[in-house]
Formats: sequence, C-alpha cells, structure tokens
Amino acid sequence: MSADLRLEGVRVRRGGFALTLDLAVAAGEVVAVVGPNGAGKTTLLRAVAGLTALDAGRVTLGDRVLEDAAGGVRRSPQARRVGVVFQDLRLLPHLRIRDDVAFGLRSRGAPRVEAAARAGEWLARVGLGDRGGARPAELSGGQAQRVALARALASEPDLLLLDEPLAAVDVAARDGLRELLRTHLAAFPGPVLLITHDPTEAVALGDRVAVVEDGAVTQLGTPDEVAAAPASPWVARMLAGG
Amino acid sequence: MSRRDREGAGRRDAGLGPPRGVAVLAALAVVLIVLPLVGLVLRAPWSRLADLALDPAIRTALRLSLTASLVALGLSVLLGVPLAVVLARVPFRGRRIVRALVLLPMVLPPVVGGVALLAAYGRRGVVGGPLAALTGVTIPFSTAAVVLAATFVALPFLVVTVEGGVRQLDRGLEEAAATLGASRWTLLRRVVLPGLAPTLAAGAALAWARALGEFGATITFAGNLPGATRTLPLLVAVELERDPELAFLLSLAMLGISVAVLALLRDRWLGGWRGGDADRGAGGDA
Repeated sequence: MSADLRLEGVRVRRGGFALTLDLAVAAGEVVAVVGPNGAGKTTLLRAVAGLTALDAGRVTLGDRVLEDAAGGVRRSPQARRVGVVFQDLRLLPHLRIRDDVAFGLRSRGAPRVEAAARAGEWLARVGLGDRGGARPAELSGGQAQRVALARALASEPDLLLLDEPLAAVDVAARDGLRELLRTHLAAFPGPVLLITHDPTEAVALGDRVAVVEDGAVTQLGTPDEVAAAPASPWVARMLAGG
Repeated sequence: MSRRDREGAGRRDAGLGPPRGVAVLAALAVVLIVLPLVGLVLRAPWSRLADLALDPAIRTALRLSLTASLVALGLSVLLGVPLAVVLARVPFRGRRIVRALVLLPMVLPPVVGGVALLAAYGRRGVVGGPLAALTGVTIPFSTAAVVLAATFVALPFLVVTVEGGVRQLDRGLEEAAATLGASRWTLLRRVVLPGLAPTLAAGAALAWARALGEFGATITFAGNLPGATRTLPLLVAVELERDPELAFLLSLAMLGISVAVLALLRDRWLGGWRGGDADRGAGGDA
C-alpha cells in the first residue's frame, strides 16, 4: 500500500549543527532535496531511514508512526521498509551482485529461488541482466550505481531514499543513468526523497524541490517555481552556472 | 659525532635517518633471532627425516598435538569471536578490565597458567573438587587438560586479533543491510563475519600456532604421559636427553610449521612480500 511520508517538527542535532524541518511527500511524488554541502541533507536521509535518532518531532508513513521523539517511538531501520541508495553505495563487497540485490528479499523471508528470480529481473531492468555473477569491485561507477538502485527497489519498499544517486557516475554515463532513474522513480508507487547538491539535477528529477540550507528548508516549490524565482542566491548561482 | 655526520653527509642525505649505530644494533637483533634457527637447520639429522612419519612415539605425539591444538582452536573460535565482537561493539562498565584479564595469558608465564589451571580444575581445585566429588571426573593429567591448557594460552591471540578486525569493519555496510531488513543474526552472519574472514584467518593461525607449541602450562597441568598428554613439544624435551638428534629433527618439523603459519600471515605482517596490499580484496565503493 502506498502512503504519504510526513515529517512534522523534525529536529536532529549533531555537534553544533541542527536540522529542523517539516516536509510532506505524497505517495508517488519525488521531492528533490537540494542544498550545499553540510546543509544537513544526508542527516535528513539518515533520520528518515532510522539510522540517526530524532531529537524532536515525528516521522509517519501513512498511519504508521516510524518515529515519535515525544512518544518514545522509534522503529528500527529493519522495520521501516525503506529502500536506500547511499551516496557511497555500500554494495556488499563479498557478494555477487545478484545476491546483493536479492539480500533484502532474503532478509524479509523470500525463498531462495524466488529471491534469485526477482533479483535477476531487477538487474535486467537496470540493464545489468548479464552481470549478475560480478562482484562490486569489477563494476564501473555507473554500473555499481545501477546495482544500488536495483537493490533498493527489489524488496519493494514503502519509501525510497536516494543520496546523490548520480554523484559516483562520470559525465558520459550520467545522462543515461538520469533517464533510468527518472523511469524508475516515476514507476515507484511510494514517496521518494532524492538528495542532491546540484540544483539542475533537483529541477530535472523532482516533482517538487526543497532547498535546504543551514539545516532548514528555505524554499519549497515545483521545479518551475524554484527555477523561475530562486529564493536562495546559492540556487540562483548554481542554476545560472549549469 | 654530529659534526662528523654533517660533514660526511652526501648531497642526497636529508639528515633525517637514524644514526649509524642503530643499524648495527638492528643487524645484531636479526643475528640473535636467525642464528639459532640456522643452527637448527644445520644440526638437524636430515637423513632421518622419514622418522617423523615412521617413529611410533613421534606419530602418537604428533596425532595428539594436532588433535588437541585443533580442538583448542575450535574452542577459541567458538568463544573468542563472540567475545571479540562484544569487546569491540558493546560498551559496558568494566570492559577495559575484562579485556585486560582476557589478554593476560599472553604475558603470563605459561607455568603460572598451568598452576592456575590446577588451582581451578585440579582434584582439589575450586571447580575440579566439586566436579570430582559429584561425577568422579578429574581433568588434570588427561587429554582434556591438554586441550584446556592450549585453549587458555591460545584464546587471547584470537580475541585480540579479531577485536581489531571488528573495529575496522565498515559500519556503513551494516547500516545498508539493516535498511534492507537484515535481522541482527543476518547482519552477523552475512555482513560482519564475511568482513571478518581475513582477520579471523590471521587470528586463527596465531592461536593455532600458540596452541601447538604450548609447553609450560601443559606439563604443569596435564603432565607428560605418553599417548595421553605428551605433545610434540613435550616429546622434544624428553628426546633431548634420550636422543638429541631426534629432538633436533622434531624441532625442525615445528620450525617448518611456524614458517607455514607466517606465510599464512604474510599479508598482515610482511606487507612488502608481494607488493603490499595488491592482493587484498577491493572495498565496496565504486
């Protein structure tokens, strides 16, 4: 079942830095979170995934409470049914990629044969149908990025989080991967949070764009709105440069 | 001295290397270690090499040594890996004390270890007394005692090596696996343990070598009974009085085993052997 993601009064402190925001992402919607390095984007992703605890606020997915700092509720990353594409990918180095893509299905109890078949389908969908026996070290940056996407989607999560999904890819492979990403994000039934430091990418991939600077949302709107009237000098500069 | 060094320095001398005397002492250190080994190789009766496989006393001791050291290794892995994981990952009060206690056998004189084992498991020991009274089972001077002594001295090597390995693991991989729904058991089995494989191999090699060579604690706690507790090192000590040539031969065999263990550990300690890290697996990042 697809359900909306809602972040209410979320606050995460880390050292002297604090991320504070409210954000709602509808099922089937892609919100691109864009901001300069150190703005708190990855902290946001980790908080939603359950890898970093909230200091305040609530995260809900439909009527499921993923975390409620005041209520003392904190679901483990395992229980959130979230698909994450990490910036550094984090493919398991000792596994063949078909086993890595099947990992989530196996962890959630799918029989070996079924998990292997579904992993094979996902690898084919990202254009790596013939590379299932490879290990991550044998892949190019773009191929590894595709595996990470396939792995996140294969276990059919309720929520998808992507951290700089085009950063590890060289310019030549970027256009193809952006198209692949757009296709799969459009097909994904749940809410998607996509994190990027590149406003051009945010505008290209997001249904809405949230600009995060110094731990707070400074602008939230459609790509056209943000591109036409960037509230932040940083976004304006980046879009002009791109 | 320093003045002469400065004057004698060539153009390419950055003046930062150690003084010459250090190199002399370093060479002396190498001689100190290598000379006895060379002596052993030269003095060993190579013509009697076949005795290693044929002599019944040797075969018995060899079988006992292999069995006891492998069982000790198994126990060390079974208990040592969990302990290493707990020491590396679970913060608890007194963790440093527990680690220090567990590593103590590495620096303890083995004979003291043997006496301590007697005090615990001996016929009138803290545990051994009640055990003998209740079941009639006595541990000292049995093959079980050989295994216990070997485990006592070998376990710390496994724990200290594997704990270091756990600390160096990339926790990002575990986070990724957790978001994929992996339970704690699955994380341990499919992410942590495979990541630990190289350090586990190194720790196991060290622990096994230590178990195989164990002498002091064994002879104190298990005695020197042919067929039951007389391991290879004990046999060497016996033969040194009866048939010194044979003692040399046995020592040569154990030297060979040690060299083999070192070869297993080469990536860890002898980084330069085959171009350093070249044959170490690449990480997960693209």
